[in-house]
Amino acid sequence: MSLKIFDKPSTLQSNSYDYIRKFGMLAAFLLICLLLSLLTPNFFSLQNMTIVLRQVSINGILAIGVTFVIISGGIDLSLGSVVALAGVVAALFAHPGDYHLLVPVVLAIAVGLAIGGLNGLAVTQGKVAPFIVTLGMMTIARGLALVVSDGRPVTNLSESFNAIGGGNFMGVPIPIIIFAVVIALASLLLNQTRIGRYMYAVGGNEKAAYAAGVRVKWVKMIAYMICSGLAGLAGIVLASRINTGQPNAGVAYELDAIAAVVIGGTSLAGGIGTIGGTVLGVLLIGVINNGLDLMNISSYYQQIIKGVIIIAAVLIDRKK
Amino acid sequence: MTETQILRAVNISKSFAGVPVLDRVCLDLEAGKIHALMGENGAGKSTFMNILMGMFPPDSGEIFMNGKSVSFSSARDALHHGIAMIHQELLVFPELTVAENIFMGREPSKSLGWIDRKTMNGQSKALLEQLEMNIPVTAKMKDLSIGEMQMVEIIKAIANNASILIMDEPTSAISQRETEVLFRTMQTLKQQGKAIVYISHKMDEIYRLADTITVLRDGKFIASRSKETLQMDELINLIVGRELSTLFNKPVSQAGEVLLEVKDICSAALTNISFYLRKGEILGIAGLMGSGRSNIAHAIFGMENYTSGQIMLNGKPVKISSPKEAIRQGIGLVTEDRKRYGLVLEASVKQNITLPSLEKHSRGILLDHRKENDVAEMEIKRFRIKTASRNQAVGRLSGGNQQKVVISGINLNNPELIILDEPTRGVDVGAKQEIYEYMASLVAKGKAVILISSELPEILALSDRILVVREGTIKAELSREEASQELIMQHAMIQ
Repeated sequence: MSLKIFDKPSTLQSNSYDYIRKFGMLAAFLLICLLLSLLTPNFFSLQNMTIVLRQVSINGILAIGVTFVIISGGIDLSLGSVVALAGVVAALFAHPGDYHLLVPVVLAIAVGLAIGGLNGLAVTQGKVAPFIVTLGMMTIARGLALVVSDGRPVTNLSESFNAIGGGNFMGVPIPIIIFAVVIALASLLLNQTRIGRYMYAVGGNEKAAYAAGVRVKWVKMIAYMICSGLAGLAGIVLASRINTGQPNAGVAYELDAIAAVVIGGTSLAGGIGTIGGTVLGVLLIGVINNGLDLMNISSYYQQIIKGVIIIAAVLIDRKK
Repeated sequence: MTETQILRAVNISKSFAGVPVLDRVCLDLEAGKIHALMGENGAGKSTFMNILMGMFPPDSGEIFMNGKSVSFSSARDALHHGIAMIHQELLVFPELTVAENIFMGREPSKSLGWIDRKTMNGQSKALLEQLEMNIPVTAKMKDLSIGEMQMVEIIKAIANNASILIMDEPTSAISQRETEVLFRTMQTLKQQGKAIVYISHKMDEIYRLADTITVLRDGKFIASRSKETLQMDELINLIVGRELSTLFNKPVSQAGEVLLEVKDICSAALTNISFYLRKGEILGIAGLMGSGRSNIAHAIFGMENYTSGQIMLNGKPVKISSPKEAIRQGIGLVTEDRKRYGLVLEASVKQNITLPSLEKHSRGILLDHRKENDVAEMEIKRFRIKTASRNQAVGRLSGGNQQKVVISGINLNNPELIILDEPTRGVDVGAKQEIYEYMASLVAKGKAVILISSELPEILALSDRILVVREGTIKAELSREEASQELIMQHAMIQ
């Protein structure tokens, strides 16, 4: 991974402490990689690296989406359910010979955007706390997924649909390519566009942003829509990889995504954060899971270790 | 040192971030006396009281209680020494009962730590009766009126054996009837030998209650006199009297045609606000905090709704419903509280400068980073903003430099009308001067300026005309020639 994404702490504050913190996290990541490659012979191989990247791609797409919401001062707990709903919707339109591949893809992303729009409306117009809105939406979207699928997994999907999650393009698994494109577009949006800058401003000081003429409600709407739209995309990748539209899929995915964002140094209070940090958080969780797998450590312990890392990351964050 | 003297603060000084807020302030409190503490907003009253309350230590100076030198490590510590404060914004537990509030933190307990409700309620009742208060001790705090809550806070202080009570503008939020009850209570407390520090802007109350009046101004001790020897005129003089000669004097500007007309604006905070403003003119708006002066600015800038009335720009009626729309119409507002409304503190100097005018530094939806950097550098030079670099977080700058960042950002939209609300609060002398010069340069270019300020010398030196606001209405319009600090204060303070 190149250092490039860290040399602009995406806009906000470039005091030396932040660099130490960011590079500290990077150093911790590299140290863990080094440790794992010493402990397990297979860790540092191209094949294993590819496995890690493919494994983290879904969480990565979700984490990048929720980074936008968190930077602009909100939170989204409905992601896991949106993954399931979008996956089911995509699967329903992905039976062999039914429709062109674009139909399930576009529909699933549209479902995500619509849910994000509803979240955004409730937060901006209804002035309900984002935590509550998206907690409610978590249940609603899960219920919708069960309703449209009649509670049963949707199977018998076309080859071309299954290729999204399972196929390769020029030797690279397609989920990794999607993840990479999402990273690139997200960085562009956050660092190079007005709306990205406004997200930082709204999350940093909503009142000041409003007084400066920023359309605060609009900015928040966009953040929620990007977040849920990407959850729709993640839902497609997941359904395609497991060849099933599974209404019970994606439970608690939002927590993994938020964990990655937090580990990556984004402040839950809003206004501070980077895509690079989130990617690092995603990778950190990924390599640790993978390394512990390779060392045959039970997934029960993996959960404990992940929890410790989240708290440790925030502790470092607090030590200002 | 007299028999009754219970507290003596000598030469208390305090600076925040290098800006002196209190400079050798002294205070003598006597048992059984009400001591009024007066001064304009920002004179240092709150800081001084916070030091007496143990909220933070003074940089220098000493506090003596009953002849012994004391220092407080916390508000709790000060309370142990018998000093209690009734805050302007009451700190109560709304879901707990009156008795529970009175005994918060020192509940009488039975064995095993059970709360002895019987004793608690009985003692609370006795305390309430002592002050002839007719509130059930088991009522929930949230069901009380603000005046009653204040009484409970006072009783809580007495239950803590406080010998000194500090009251910060206790009558600002209560009814006339409750005010009378409060004053009776204060007289009772006085007879019981308590010392009361009374902070208020209301002259009639001061003259009715106080035995002694101490005046602070710009963090300095000005005078401490018995009420009998201090006439109201002289008191106002002491409160406001600053040397005008050291201040900036605006060159005479040519007023052009009318730019802004405000007609009969009414809102929750305002009643029938009407005035006009010509190009090339600085209109001062004076009034105490909470008088509605900031609400006028917010209404014009689309930050607060108004229920009736009309705003005209260049003779045309405009409907401004958001700051974005106001900016588009050529209005800029430097808000009163820059940390809350003016700046994104963790964002960089550059980002704060360019935020209001970001569209100008973009190509389509993409930011033009080079142009943005150039603009930021230019503005930093132009306003002489002292910062390590344009990427420095703005929260780390001094107050004056933060304010210059805010002004620079608003100026980049090139507004025709600029409203500055308390632009020099917490700003050092040098930056103040620069802000004055900036305002003068605006009117020289034919722009219109509204200056809202608590600092009367500033208003007097810069304004072509002055509006005095009290209780949401314009009480007076004064010309530059007739205006004086005394006259403004009379309109702003006295019924």
